[in-house]
Amino acid sequence: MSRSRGHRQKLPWPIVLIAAVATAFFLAPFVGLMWRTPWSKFTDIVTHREIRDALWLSIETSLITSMICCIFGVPLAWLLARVEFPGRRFIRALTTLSMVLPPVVGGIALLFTFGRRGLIGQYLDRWFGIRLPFTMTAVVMAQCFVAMPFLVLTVEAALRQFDSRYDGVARTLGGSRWYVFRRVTLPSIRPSLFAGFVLAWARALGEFGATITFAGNLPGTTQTMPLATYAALDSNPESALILSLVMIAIAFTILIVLRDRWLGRTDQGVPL
Amino acid sequence: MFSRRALVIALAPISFFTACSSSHSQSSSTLEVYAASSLATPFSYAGLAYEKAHPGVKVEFNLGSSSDLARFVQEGAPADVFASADIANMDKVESKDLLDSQAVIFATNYLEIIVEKGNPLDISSLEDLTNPDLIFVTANPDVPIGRYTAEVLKKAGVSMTPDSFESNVKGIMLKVASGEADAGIVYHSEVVASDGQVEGVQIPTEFNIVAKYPIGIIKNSTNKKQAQGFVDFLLSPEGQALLTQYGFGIP
Amino acid sequence: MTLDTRFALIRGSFELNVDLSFNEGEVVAIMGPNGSGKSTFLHAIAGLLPVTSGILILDGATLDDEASDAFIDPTQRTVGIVFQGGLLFETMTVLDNIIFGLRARKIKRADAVTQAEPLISQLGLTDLLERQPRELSGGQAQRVAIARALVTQPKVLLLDEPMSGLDTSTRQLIRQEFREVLAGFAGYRILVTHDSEDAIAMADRIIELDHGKVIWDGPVSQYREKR
Repeated sequence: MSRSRGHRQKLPWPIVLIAAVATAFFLAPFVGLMWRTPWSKFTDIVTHREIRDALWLSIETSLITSMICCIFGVPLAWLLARVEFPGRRFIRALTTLSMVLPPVVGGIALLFTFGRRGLIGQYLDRWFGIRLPFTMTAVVMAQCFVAMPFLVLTVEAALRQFDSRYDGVARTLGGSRWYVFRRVTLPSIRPSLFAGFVLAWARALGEFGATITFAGNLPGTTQTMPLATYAALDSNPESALILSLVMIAIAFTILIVLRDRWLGRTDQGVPL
Repeated sequence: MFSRRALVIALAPISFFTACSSSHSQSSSTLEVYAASSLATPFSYAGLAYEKAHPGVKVEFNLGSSSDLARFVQEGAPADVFASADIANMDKVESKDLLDSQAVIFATNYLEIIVEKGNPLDISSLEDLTNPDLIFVTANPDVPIGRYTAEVLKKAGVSMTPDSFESNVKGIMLKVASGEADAGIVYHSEVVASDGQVEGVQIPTEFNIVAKYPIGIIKNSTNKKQAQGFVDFLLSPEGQALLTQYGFGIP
Repeated sequence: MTLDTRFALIRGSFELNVDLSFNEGEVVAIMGPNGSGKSTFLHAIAGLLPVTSGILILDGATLDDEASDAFIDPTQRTVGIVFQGGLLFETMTVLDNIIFGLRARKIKRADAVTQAEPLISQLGLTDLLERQPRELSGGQAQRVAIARALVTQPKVLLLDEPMSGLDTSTRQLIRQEFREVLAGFAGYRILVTHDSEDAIAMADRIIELDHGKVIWDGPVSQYREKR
């Protein structure tokens, strides 16, 4: 490369060039969006009832989804990380499957399983009168399906890295499995748990394909922000632009604010 | 020596992109037809017939809701022909001065209620759809079928809230055929094409609408000769017979 | 009263086979190269690994008997273990680390602190109580780990490579301290090390393991002569 004269080494220009192209690629769409946004109408549109409904529905469902992902995802992650059981590799592959699948495929699968005539859905309907499609519950289910892998994988990785001898010491000291998990394991994987929660939340917030296929599209009940944006695209492009901007702002805020907290913790040397 | 290799590596992606876009100009034997999803069945047969009569020409279809397609065309998509399920979406394209010449109505359609095979809930009129326990799906208001449905319901003085707004007419078909929704309103041609998967319930003529399907050639088309040929085919007795066979009406 | 360990433990392709008996009065050092089974031996006594066949009896009470399917959980065995580096819980203070075992037994915090007090001052840890584990030096961490293990008054104290990770000068300083701490503990004391200097300095009896088998067992004086 270049010879260093004085204190600074010259940056290798091919790498800088390629990185600049990559950055421009990411930056350009946002600039384009903001350039076309009707800023003067911002408050008018944002306070529109349908937009407010979509905003509120998205936040409500995504938070519920994230919490469900935590409650069910952590035990699964623990099992996958700590216990060697037959079929473990299969289960792990299964959990990650929905991450690789196109979301619409996930939606179709959910529809034909939990729909009114679905494998399980038909019994839910016949025996309990429970109908899932077109309800907010279906929205949460669709979001959980796509978001849970993010949490499971993050937490599993952290648990694997966590020295199992800590468990051993704690147990010889008299701690029950639950006490040890609560006071030793959980606090030390907290940064990763947090990161997993945030990732799952972000994914749930942006979920479209599975939601529209399984839950349907009804303002106020199942029309989340991504669905509302798509619906607005033809009739009301200005609404679509503003909704897009709101979603970007939310996502950006989440990432910046929470990433700092997350980084801050790891800097303190907490074992991940 | 290092810097020359680096230059090649850095510029490789750019040359890839330019190569991609230039491949479009050599498509003089391919016809890109953007058509409303309700035209799926008759158009696939029309495409085959046209290819047979014009060896060397390949007809490619991009099917979707007319509103989506109109948007694509407005954003500069490389369409040769645009067939919409309503005049409103064709007007969008025309108002941007993207049509080569005046659009022509080539087919008509009317609406019909669809229910699950066997009509288990015994639906016989538009009024029956107002039952709150009934799951009724329609399409987004910009999608032609969505707008037409709203029109019909207004004409009949029936008001209700659908359970979902699908993105195109095929979505409505899927939900009713799979039993997820109890009823929907689609084109008569869809009932014909479904081949018994769903059952149709007539809507009285006084409440029904006539959907007019315009077709137009795009100004920026690189294949106007074949585009005009395809439109002529659809308007010919053979083309019109194909359309009526699949439930459409003649203008 | 004795600690009898007569068992075989198979892990994958490795087999540990021992027939040993320990007395309360002696400090025993288990030596051997890596992979000889030293850590496995400690894990078995602590109950972190079940034996494949054989028995483990402490003061007449069966901790593990494969034949009759008897197995006492590590939480119930009165065994304390100190791993190399101390392995302190990073997300709590030194004090919380030390009283962990008492709090796990649902003893109220104030009572736990009182109970741990004599041990804390004996090991000179009073000034370190509010520190975080990562702020401690190697030697300090070791002492906290020992306090943590001893606070629940176990019958057996196991130390897995207690001096590893410490530099030579710290080692020499700590060796004497360790001897005193070990001497002050009244139960069974077994430490695992690969360093013969440490073993000779701290133990009364030395056992050598190789490839899962005991190849030498005798008093430290004999060991010194052998070398």
